[in-house]
Amino acid sequence: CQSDLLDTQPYDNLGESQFWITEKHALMGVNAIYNNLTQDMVYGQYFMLDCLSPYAYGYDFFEAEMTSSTTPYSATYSGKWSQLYLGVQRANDALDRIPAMSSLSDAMKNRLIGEAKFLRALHYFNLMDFFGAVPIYETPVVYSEAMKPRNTVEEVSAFIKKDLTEAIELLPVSYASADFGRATKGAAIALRGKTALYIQDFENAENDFKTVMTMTYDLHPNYAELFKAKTENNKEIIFSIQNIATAGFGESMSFRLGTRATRGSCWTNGIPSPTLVDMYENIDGSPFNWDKVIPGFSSMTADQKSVLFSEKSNVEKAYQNRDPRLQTSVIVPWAEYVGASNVTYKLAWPFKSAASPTFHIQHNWNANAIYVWRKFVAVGDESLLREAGPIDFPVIRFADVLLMFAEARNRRIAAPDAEVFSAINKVRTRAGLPALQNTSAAAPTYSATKADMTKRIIQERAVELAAEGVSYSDVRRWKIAEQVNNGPILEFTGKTLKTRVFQPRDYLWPIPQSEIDQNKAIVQNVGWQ
Amino acid sequence: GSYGQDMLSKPVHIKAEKQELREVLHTIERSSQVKFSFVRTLVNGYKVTINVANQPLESVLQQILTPLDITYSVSGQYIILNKKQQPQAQPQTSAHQELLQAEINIKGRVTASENKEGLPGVSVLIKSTTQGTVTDVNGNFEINVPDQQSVLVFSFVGYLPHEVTVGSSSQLDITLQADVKALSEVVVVGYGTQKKVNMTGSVASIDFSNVAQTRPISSLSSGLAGLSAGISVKQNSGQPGSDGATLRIRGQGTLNNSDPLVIIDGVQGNMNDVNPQDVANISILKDAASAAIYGSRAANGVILITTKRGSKDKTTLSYNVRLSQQKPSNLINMVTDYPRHMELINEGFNNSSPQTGPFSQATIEDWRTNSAIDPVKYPNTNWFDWILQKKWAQEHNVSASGGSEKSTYLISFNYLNSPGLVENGGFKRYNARINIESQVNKWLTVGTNTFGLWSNSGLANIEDLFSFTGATVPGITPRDPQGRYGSAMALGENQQANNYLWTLNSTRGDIERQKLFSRFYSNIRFTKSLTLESGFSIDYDNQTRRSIGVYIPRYNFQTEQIWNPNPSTYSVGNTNARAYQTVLNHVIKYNETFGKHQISALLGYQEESYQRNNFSASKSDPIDDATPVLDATSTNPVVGGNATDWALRSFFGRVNYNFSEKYLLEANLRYDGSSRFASSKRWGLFPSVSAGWRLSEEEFLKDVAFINELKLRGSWGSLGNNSIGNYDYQSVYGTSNYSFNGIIVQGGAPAAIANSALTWEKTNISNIGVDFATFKNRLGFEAEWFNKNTSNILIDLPIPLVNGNLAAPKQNAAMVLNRGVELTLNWRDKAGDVNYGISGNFSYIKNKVTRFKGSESSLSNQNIMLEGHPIWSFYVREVDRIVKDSDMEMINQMITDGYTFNPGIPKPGDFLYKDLNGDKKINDDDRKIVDANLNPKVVFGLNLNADWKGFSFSTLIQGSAGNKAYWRDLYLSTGMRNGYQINQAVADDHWTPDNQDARYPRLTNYTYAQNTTPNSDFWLQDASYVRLKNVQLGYTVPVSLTRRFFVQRLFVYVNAENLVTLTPYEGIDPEITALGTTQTMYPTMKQLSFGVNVSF
Repeated sequence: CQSDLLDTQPYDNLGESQFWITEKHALMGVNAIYNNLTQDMVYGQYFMLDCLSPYAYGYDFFEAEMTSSTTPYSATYSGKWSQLYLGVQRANDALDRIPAMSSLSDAMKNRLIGEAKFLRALHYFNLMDFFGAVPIYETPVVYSEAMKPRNTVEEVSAFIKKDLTEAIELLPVSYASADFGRATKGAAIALRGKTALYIQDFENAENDFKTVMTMTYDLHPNYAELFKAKTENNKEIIFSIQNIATAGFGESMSFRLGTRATRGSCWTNGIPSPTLVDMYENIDGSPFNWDKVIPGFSSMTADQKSVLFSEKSNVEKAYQNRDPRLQTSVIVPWAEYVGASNVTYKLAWPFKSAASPTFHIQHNWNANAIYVWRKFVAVGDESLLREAGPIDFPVIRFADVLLMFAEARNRRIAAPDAEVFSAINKVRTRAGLPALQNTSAAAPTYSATKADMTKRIIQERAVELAAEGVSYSDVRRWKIAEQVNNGPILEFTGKTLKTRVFQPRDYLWPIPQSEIDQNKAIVQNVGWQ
Repeated sequence: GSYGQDMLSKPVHIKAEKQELREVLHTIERSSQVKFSFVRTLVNGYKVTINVANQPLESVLQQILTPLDITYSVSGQYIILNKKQQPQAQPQTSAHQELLQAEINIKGRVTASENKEGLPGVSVLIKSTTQGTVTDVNGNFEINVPDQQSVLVFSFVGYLPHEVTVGSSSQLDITLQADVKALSEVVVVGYGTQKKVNMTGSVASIDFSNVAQTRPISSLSSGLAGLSAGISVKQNSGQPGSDGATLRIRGQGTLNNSDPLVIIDGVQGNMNDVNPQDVANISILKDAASAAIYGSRAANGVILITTKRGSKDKTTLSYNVRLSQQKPSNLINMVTDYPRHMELINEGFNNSSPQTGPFSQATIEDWRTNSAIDPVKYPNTNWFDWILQKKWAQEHNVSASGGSEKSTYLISFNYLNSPGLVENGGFKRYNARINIESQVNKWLTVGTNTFGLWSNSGLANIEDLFSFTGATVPGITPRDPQGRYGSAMALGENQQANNYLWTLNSTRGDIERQKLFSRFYSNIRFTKSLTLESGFSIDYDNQTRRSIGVYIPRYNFQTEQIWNPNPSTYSVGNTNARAYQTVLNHVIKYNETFGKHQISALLGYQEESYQRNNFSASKSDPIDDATPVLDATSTNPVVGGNATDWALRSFFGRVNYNFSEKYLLEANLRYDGSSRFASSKRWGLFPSVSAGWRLSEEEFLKDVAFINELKLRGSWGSLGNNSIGNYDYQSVYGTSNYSFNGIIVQGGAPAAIANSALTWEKTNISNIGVDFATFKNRLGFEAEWFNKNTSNILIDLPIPLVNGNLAAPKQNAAMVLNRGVELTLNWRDKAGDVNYGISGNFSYIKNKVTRFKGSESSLSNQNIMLEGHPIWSFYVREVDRIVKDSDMEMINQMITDGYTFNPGIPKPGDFLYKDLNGDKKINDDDRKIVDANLNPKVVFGLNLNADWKGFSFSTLIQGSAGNKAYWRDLYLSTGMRNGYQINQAVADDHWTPDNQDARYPRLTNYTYAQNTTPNSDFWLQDASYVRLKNVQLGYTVPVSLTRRFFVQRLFVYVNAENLVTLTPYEGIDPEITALGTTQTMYPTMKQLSFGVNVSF
């Protein structure tokens, strides 16, 4: 007889009493909060959220949400809610344990507390963005007692601000290269500014962004290189989700946004909309207008447009002399794309064959006249695993900070001033567009009024941050979604793919029904009852 | 002996007038508590008149028997009647020895199979004569027979008759097999056997020895359907190799694992690993009294499986072969006319959002015109016709059994080859068994039960069949005549539409499994009444899955273009899972009779330990399809591996007492410790008591002729359940890694939410039963009432999602009551040359959650858990109507009156839901509880069999009532989705402006929520059914014909399984339903088989 027969321990886990002892444990506990960022509904599939903005469209993801036909039972909502709260709970666990640990140096302890606070704030920021007022949990709680009512938005934003203010004190400006990707002081300041911007506290937002602008961050000279694995650690990155090409540690952007021509035969779940494509300015800074390039275009029928697009020479001029970011981000009709095995394909209309001699890009929408993404999609054989790509996903980058600064300051003052112009123009100039100005009214770059600038910022954010998932939050926080998110989703020939619907209730997602079923103290968002 | 003299001097009262001698003897038997042994032909045709009071038995017998030339003698507890021997047939008389020289003298001994002890009073008759003798007190006999061809017939009450051709031997040792159908049936119970008449618990015993030889049962569990009251059998899938069934004994008592404990030859195991043809007997322990000896794992009942043994006197070699073919018992009709399919998709899309239908009219018309001309380019595919293949499966079984004085053996070998229902889904299995028992000396017996299996199956995961085939369209040619696979072709079609035939073939590989089980046991006899049984077993199970992805192009046959470019990366994967189980036990048994007091007791110790480990590796880019191993690959290695274990330690005991086999008492106790609980919560005590009273043994009923057996019994006991994860009580940190700047770093986070207070789930069962036999034991009847109360139920309650998306911990949260009755009726008789039997069983179970969260409920999709209602009752809105154009005025009035509608305001063709709570808000608050769930309230089975001159017929009808299923999956929806199939019934009768009285609502885009998303009673169906489970017709070729080929028995048969099903349910199979909306799963199979059984 074996006396300890009944004392079995798991082989793959450590018991609670064996954890939070050494410095390694403290690091592991904090690393696990970063790990939570890779969950699908946290940042893993964040890029697909563009489908809920006017600038993109897709299938398999958010299909019912695009037509506002969901109920609070939808797995989208319970997934987002529970995955974000898992990050909160991991952070709470670390913040509960690490201060009491004696095996850590004070420096390491402070840094880890700072990281955990930043990460908790980042999770709460997303909760606030999507659900509004949420219950605040700041210490570990017994699972059956997690029955708090919702706090107010003011309380939630104040809580985020407090966490970030403490993190700013504790976090380093930068790390040794092996730790690139950890939360920094700059990331915490930028996130605090973004939180302020989202609750329309423009003064604090402006101040924080301004602080970030005085730090060592800068725009990477080449927009296209920003989204490549080999140049991903550049001065523009303030905080990004770290990906490598190993199963379980990579992104699925090529898989979701790439085509059958992309290595691994990808699915094209998300596509850019003609609305987005048409927003890219002409190279002189004037708005793009189809009728100016192809006279009579807007009065043509879908069938006529279909014929028009079938000939490269008919339409290629529409995509030339445009904001260079258009062709960097989108594969337009008849443009080339180097796919698997370095074969060069082109996006034809209509699709005929992926094989020689035509080498058309094949994708899951071949019956439809659609644009496809180039941004974030692997070229040639650079990414071997379609569901484990190496590209870091930007959460906050310097261009975004510049645009948010311009926005916050523009909202605060009577008319855009030099600081506003300077910030937005940095982004435009890097892209290769002429600077905006308030001196020469005849030039297409003239944007003297607050309203002009607001329009430019909306436009600039859409094209600069395309496929980065933030546009959906933008149209909601600007409260313009009801105007821009209702109506047909079109093919480039003008044929209707589907009708997008946005109701007032959709500014916030519903609290998942199962949470309401269990916790009677939680009140549902307006319009979802 | 003196006991015999006592017997003959017993006083007798009897009054008979021209009564059958047999009946008179029978009356004496019961009134004087004696037993007669005689050959039926000896007493047939004699009628007796006698009227005596208080006379000694001896004188009564003389009065009756002497005139009839019948002698009597006392042997042990029996009075043996014999024909008064003619002079030459008086073997005991030495004076006649010289007259017998022409005859052969045979000596021998008859023993009982269950205890190897000599059987006194066995009638030994020379076949086709009236000559014979009986065995003495030790079971010995001596008889003279005319020649070597003479056949001796041995018969004895409670045992199967046995015939032996004398041959050249002069010594014949015979073992009589207990006749399990008789009332003296011995029943296998926990850690032993017991006479059925002395049972006080509720045990169903199924003689399985002949069932599997003629029914094509490849998994033992699925063969149990309808055979016994109180057990419901729900087949999970018909896939060969995984067609095991879910068994429920007396309903679903708990909310998690409700599977009964299965004990095979004394060791826990998977019943589907046992070759059904090796099984001799199955006992089902239903109440707490009989199951409590298994304590903590017995809450869901216990199934004891005993495999066949060899017998000492008879060597048999048998060979059984069977060919069978199967097809699904039902399929769902989907639209196969592709132009119609496209129109319906357009209709749905356009109804939701005008002009969004993906197919142009030209495309549709083009298809309609060309499909008759070129069906490869313009197919209208019925996917099930393409995918389901009809091939013959074959099974061969050879077994040999026999033995000598000291040892017995059974060896068997079984081979099953089923090509499967789909390509790459075949299953091959070899199964071998050795059961040997040897009596080393007077006090020691040792033996083994050893079996092994090797199986190999294709990778086709049949569970995918329906999900893949739901997501496809009729406009794809699965495979053209040249063997090329097709893809979607119509402009506007979803390019992702599946070709499951292609999917089945684009991963190659197999799943191989080896299992070896061996149990060694010994039996030490200290004294006649005290024994020690010890056993040790090891079970090893190894499963390996090998796969390689291969590139097979899919074509658009219209354009001759390849649809899927070569992804240029394939993965080779190997996974390996191993399990070990060891069980050690010692049981001391004591058995003694003191006059009329019989006492038996046992005391036992057992420890079990289970370990599992697994390893997996995959790597990409093999050299070629033909090099499917890891060493031939080059990139992206991924490896994984893990291990788990658990252990159980137990002490147990039992005491049985009976007085004169009239008053019966039993008590059991088990003390179990499980590694699955924290040390303070680990040990559980599980007692039971039961009692029985055989009224038919009482004086006041003894003379009632129509009562052959009447017993009342009652029991109470407490059982446990620990079916939770191995480490669920522990808070643990698991890996949760991340990478910084391209380097992977370790992370650690709670792997699950733990509940350290977890403890045993407890089930208390009370049981009251009546056993009754009448019409000379031809009619048997059993009735039982039971009350099964399970408390501390280990349940996955949803927890607030603010805890994160980790699995919810188990909690000891609820109490569930199952209360019901079970009735079993058996009739067996003979009409002319026809022997026939009817047995029916019926169970009614009422299931109710008695304690949960007070007035609070827990919701899970369509189901609710609330006190006072069955477990996971359905919780749905009520559909008022499908809105007609003429109803819109009313809807508008409702809007004016302040009604709100969720998800939306119904349009014509949509459901209008009822405002059940009257709050003018039509939403999910209007859901109502339907007091029904997946589990049937009534389960029944009816077994009929008959034989006539070698022909045999049997049939099994089985069914259930009161169970419901929620069907709204890929195969039944009014939400049209491009690339998905459409139900024909929906196509035929959905709402359109021209069909206002439709059965189904209007077609919409699948994202439109109004009709398909809210859980409503529209999609809830009654899944009661009656099924003709099995019909079998067989013929035994007469021995006179087969004997010259040395064949003892030649049996040929044809068998059909699941032939006819009557049900109001419209889904694929009322027997295969599940929680959730997805009901289209692999159905039970209609099987036709032919076979031959030969014994030598």
